[in-house]
Amino acid sequence: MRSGRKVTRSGAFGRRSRAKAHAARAGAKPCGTHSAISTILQQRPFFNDWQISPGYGIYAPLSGLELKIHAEARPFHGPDAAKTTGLQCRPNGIFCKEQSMSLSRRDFVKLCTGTAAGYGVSRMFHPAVREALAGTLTGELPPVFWLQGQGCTGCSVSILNSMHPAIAEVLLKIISLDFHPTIMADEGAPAIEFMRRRARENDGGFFIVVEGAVSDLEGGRYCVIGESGHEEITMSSMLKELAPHAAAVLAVGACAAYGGVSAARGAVTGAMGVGAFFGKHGIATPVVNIPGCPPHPDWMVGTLLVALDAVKRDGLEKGLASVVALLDEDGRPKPFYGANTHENCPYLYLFDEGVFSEKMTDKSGCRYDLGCKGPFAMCDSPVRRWNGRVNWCVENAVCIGCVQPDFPDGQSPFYEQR
Amino acid sequence: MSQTMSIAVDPVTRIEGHLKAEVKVEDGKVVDARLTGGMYRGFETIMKGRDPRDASQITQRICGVCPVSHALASSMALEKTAGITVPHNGRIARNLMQGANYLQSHILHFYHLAGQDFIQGPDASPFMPRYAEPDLRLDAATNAVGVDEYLEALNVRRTCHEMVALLGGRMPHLHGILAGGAAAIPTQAQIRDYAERFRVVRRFVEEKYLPITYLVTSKYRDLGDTARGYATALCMGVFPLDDEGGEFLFNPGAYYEGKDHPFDPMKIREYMKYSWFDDATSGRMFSEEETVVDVNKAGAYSFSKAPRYDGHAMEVGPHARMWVNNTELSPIGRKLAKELLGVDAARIRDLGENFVFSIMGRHLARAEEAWQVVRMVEKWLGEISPDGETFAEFEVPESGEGFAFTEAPRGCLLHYMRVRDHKVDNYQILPATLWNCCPRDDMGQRGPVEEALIGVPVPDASSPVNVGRVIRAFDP
Ligand code: SF4
Ligand code: SF4
Ligand SMILES: [Fe+2]
Repeated sequence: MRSGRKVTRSGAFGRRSRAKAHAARAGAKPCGTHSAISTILQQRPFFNDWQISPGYGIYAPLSGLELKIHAEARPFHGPDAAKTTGLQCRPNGIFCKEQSMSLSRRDFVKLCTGTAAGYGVSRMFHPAVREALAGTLTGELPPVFWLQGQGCTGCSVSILNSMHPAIAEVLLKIISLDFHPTIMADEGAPAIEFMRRRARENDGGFFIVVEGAVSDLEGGRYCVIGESGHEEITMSSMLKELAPHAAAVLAVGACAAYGGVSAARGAVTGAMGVGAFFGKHGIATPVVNIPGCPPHPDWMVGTLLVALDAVKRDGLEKGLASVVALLDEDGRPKPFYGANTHENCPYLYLFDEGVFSEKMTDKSGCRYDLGCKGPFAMCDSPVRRWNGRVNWCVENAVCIGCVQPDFPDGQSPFYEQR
Repeated sequence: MSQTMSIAVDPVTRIEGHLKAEVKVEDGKVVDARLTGGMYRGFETIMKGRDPRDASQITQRICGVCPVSHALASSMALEKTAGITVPHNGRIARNLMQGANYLQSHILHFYHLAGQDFIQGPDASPFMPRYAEPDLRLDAATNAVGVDEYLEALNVRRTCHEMVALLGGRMPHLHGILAGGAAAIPTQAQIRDYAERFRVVRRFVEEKYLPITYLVTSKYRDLGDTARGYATALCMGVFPLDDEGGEFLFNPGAYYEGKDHPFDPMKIREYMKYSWFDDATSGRMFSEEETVVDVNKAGAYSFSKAPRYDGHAMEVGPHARMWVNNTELSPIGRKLAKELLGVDAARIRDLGENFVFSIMGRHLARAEEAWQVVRMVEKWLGEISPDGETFAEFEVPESGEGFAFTEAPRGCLLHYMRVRDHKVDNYQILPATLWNCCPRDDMGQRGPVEEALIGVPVPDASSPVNVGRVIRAFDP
């Protein structure tokens, strides 16, 4: 059935050691997930009846000692699937082993990479926790200002896709989004002044989300975000003004986190990520990077919720410190970015067996030879999947390494192996 | 004695990108306008020296609302350069991805971007604060319907993204469109899942989006007679209906000076006098263009260049596509046009030039276009096959050049690439927002939205609602 090319042992091993070396460089720890899946598949042949495809079927996310298994129940899996497997049925058609619904923040790391990945982020939190989020800092919904630098609005469009919780719930019940150029009713100087007023009223207690890169070249004029009192306001001046007073800054997307496409080779605007900008200008506010081009909505909403929750429980300083403790050396929350994409890829067994696709539309092999950057990337997309879990990057084509600090230059050419 | 005052709106919100509007108001009406595109990244220079196949990924990052269109245009430019044709099933798959994103974009635009120009949301951020005099005219019951639909539309547009992702991997910034065709042959299950979701979207367009657009138009009849501008229209062709690219759902064409003209890409020029780019590069064709940014240039006021067609500033977008093709209206639309607007109209031009080139006309054309896309998606779902190849393999040529046109949801899109030593030597992009939101050209002619702002009523300088309404009607 497979038309993917089966390569000789040495060829496959060559690739494997190369990819493993890269994975190690990207900070991944081999987890044994793949062998665990193989073992289960061997021991429980009934999985085969489920027409489990490599794309959506069973997967075993990285979760340390505890291996949790899911299988998305497609209609053709049959009504008895739950009985035969001893897995429990969830209302959204997903089967999984019974999981604790009473989740504390301590479980966060485990959960983000574990069972909750399939459910968006709301299941990571006990309903009571979510309720408590309202009124985190000041007895009101916590103020959030979303600033857009040099970017494409793709991160904003992506967060609109948030499902668990739905974006309407985030907007109406969880945060007070006091500034967002793409969706707020207000405009012009009144919108800028409203944000400034809210910042004064909540000094030290508001969050800034930055989408897009920042540049201070030419007085910051490569990105003007508004005008007030006949004064031009650049992205860099607004950040310098507000960021020192923010509780924390979330740099969402490749551009805000590390510069991304806006700072790629050939760019002349001096665009850079928020962390680099803060370093240059001596701004000490904590920055959480949520890279991806764009980031998955769960990565953004999940991190925001965790930050709000931590601050609510432990107060500003301790709460934020616990969030910062979740970050890897590239400033990303490990719960979402702690696992190597390749090590969790459903096609890893094909990689190990040395079966490689040679043509883009041939899905019977591993995509390594087509340029897949999974071995160099750290994201949970193979487990979390995208857009209501209907698909993900590698199932459709190849990984382009969009969560990595060196995206796009270090991850391209996208369709050649490096 | 007349009183002149200058009003600046910056940022213009609920659009994609960074835009400032500066209008001069005399006796409560706009007499002059300037639009400033306030952000620059420079994709042309970023593309230089890269693997030409990477264009479909890199250039999607121009716009997170319409990445599918950039992926298409860049892929087609390389396919032209390499001299290859996309297999039949690949064309259908691309149409289905592009179609789903059109629906996503139009629904997002009407409800979540423009919607608050007519609807009052809940009394909290981001729906409040807003201008003191927002000129809202819907009665409480209709407004409540609007708010409900706003929330429902959040789910519907997300569903549209799922449709794109089923065939394209993820959204925004899909993986499924690349030079050669579509990256994956859709499986039977994916086609079924797409169709399932499509039914929900179709119902929403027919039962909610179209009716509310007509309803709002009937409450704002004066805005159906406002912001006429140049009444020009350009369409470069989108949704190919055959594999040779001879026939489209929206065929290319131009309309100016009250007449129809065939589309000829050689008539396009880009002007720089009022843009922060080197004057020496002004007035060129896209294949001869260079991008040399100069943010300190005196007299310039925008990062947008000023494209002109045969010397004319052209409006682009759904109303332009519909006008050029004199597209027929939906059955629901025909009924509502009669009932709510008192107009007998079978095709868009029956609504009259003055209406179509107005704030409400542009919104209405977008909703009607959504219905056209719905109609065609139904057809393509019957044509897509789980067995047909979607991708043609090819070698990146050592050298060559190619350009391609398509239409993003918000208007004409052109990508041009020149390849040398297997690498991109020159890359040029002419996106929709440049056509609509450009500054003046070297001859001093205003851009289309600048022109459309002329004469627009601004009775209260502290609540210049109509300025934003005009701009948003173009979906920049
Ligand atoms: S497809 Fe990519 S991520 Fe998956 S196993 Fe192959 S190389 Fe690794
Ligand atoms: S799988 Fe690759 S392309 Fe997809 S989100 Fe992760 S890093 Fe980005
Ligand atoms: Fe766009």
